[in-house]
Amino acid sequence: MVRSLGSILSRFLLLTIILVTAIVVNVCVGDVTVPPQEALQAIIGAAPQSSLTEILWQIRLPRICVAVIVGAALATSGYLLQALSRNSLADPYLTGVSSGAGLAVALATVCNLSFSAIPVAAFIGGLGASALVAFMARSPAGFSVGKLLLSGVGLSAICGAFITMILIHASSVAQGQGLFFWLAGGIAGHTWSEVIPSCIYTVLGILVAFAMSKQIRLLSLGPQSAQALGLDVAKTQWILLGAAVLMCGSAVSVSGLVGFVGLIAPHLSRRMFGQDERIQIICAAMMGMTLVLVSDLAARTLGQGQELPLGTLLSLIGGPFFLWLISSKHNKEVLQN
Amino acid sequence: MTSNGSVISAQNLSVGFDKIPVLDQVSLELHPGEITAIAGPNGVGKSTLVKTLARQLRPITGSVKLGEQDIWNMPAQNFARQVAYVPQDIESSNQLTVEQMVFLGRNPHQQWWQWNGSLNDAAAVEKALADTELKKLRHTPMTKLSGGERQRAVIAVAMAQEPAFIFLDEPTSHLDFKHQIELLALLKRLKTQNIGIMLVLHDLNVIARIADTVILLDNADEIQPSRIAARGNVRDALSAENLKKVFHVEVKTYTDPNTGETVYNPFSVA
Repeated sequence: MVRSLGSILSRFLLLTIILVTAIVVNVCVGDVTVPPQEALQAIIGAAPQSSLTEILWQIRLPRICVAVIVGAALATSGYLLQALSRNSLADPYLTGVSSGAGLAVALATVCNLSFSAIPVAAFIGGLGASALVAFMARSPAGFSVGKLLLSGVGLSAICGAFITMILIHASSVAQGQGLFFWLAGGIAGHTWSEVIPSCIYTVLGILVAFAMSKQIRLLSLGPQSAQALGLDVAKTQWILLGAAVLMCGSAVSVSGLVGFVGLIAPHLSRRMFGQDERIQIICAAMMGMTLVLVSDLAARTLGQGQELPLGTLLSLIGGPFFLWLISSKHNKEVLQN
Repeated sequence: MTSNGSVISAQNLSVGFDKIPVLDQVSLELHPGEITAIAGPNGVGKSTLVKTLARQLRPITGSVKLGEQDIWNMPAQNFARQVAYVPQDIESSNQLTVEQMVFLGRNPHQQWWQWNGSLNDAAAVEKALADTELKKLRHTPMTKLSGGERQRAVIAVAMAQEPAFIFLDEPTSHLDFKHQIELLALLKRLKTQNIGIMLVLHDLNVIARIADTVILLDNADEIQPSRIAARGNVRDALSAENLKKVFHVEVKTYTDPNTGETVYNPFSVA
């Protein structure tokens, strides 16, 4: 879809307003709900030190940062996987990348690895899973979409089974419970020191995606045409896959298995902002942030005292969205390949 | 235009997939300003040969050289500055406009991070759009074009590369008569710009209208790989005798009194 600059700018402004509003509401609303001015004063230290300052700096702001990072990472990762497979049905959760990362994190947890090693484990697990899925789905013209999704489902089932076995054999109840909640997907209870590694990996992944947006456009012509225009197709595919896995791994390491953000955000971004890859990457990331922020707000306010797992809530939204996408005309044709 | 005067040459080439040769013992030379057509029955290896010459597929044995250099020893981008390839099937899912699409043809001349082209890039894109008569459609999405317009747009991408050679795999297969005639006129214009063209074609009458040289491939023994059955100018390579041997059909040939071109009429299975 070709959109005029004015239309893109007005939509971008709208998205920015929604994102900022979501951040402000997440700061202000919770067990203790405060007006925005009071929250701002507490954050910048204009108000005397109070329990509100403590709540905002130690609980809500790190949580918002994690939501923003996880949303941006999963959305951009999904965007890259969709560009690589040239299909809007790909996402880290459905292609097994999240499950591979999840299994590696579960293993790292029961082996009592330090927190800084968890993103590395998630990256290795995600890379292993994506390499296996890419191998299974290979075809002369790059990836077969049907095989990619089915291999992802198969691999997710295998990883899920292993994760269950790890849960059963966890050395302590606390460890098992911790793993269980992590698997259900959630972004609560992180400290600033836990946020930083994921933030670095996500920014790095987005920068790689942004820097390679012309190469992404060339890949959209198909591997033959891209190669004919001087692109080293295999190298480009591996770099983009590496960036996608890095971001997905960093998200999984802090949020557990949160699905469908990588499916919904790039799709909406494409619909709202048209073809330009650079705009799409930024807007998909912003959509992802907004989606996770809004879902997390719902997860912690709708449960009446008991928080709903974020992953579960997003699956309730994402599942029907995925089914709708499959039934759309374009994807029906693509799935037949 | 780069490397005018250099030649694409293949020596004792064997081409195919998964190390199984489809076609072998191919030696040939392609020159700038010359149109070479590849003809032959289905499955004989025409597209495979073009893909191998256009650096889409590695040869099983033998080598392809551009000037003195083996094409697989050149960086992909350097090769793409001199040789363009127009595949048979063009992706239909991308939402680019004609102008955005043609601009991608400048990629071989740009740094990897470069989005906005130089003045040279803009001029090359303008020329490609003008030569393919696509200026009016520059802001139209590729998905909204007719078959003929799409084919012209893809050729415009190849022209924006400013190559010395263009390979086209069955460029007329999806086109009606009008668009076929327009495409042939375009290819003839490219020839006058000293671009070397090699194309796979099925229609003997189209070949007769456009080709300087014809390479006729034959799969006489179905167990063995195909070979070159004949080559030369249209009249010699596509003689009734050669066509009977290769296509197993009887063909009557006439000379069009107006154009002097040979007209082929395949009328029965031999």
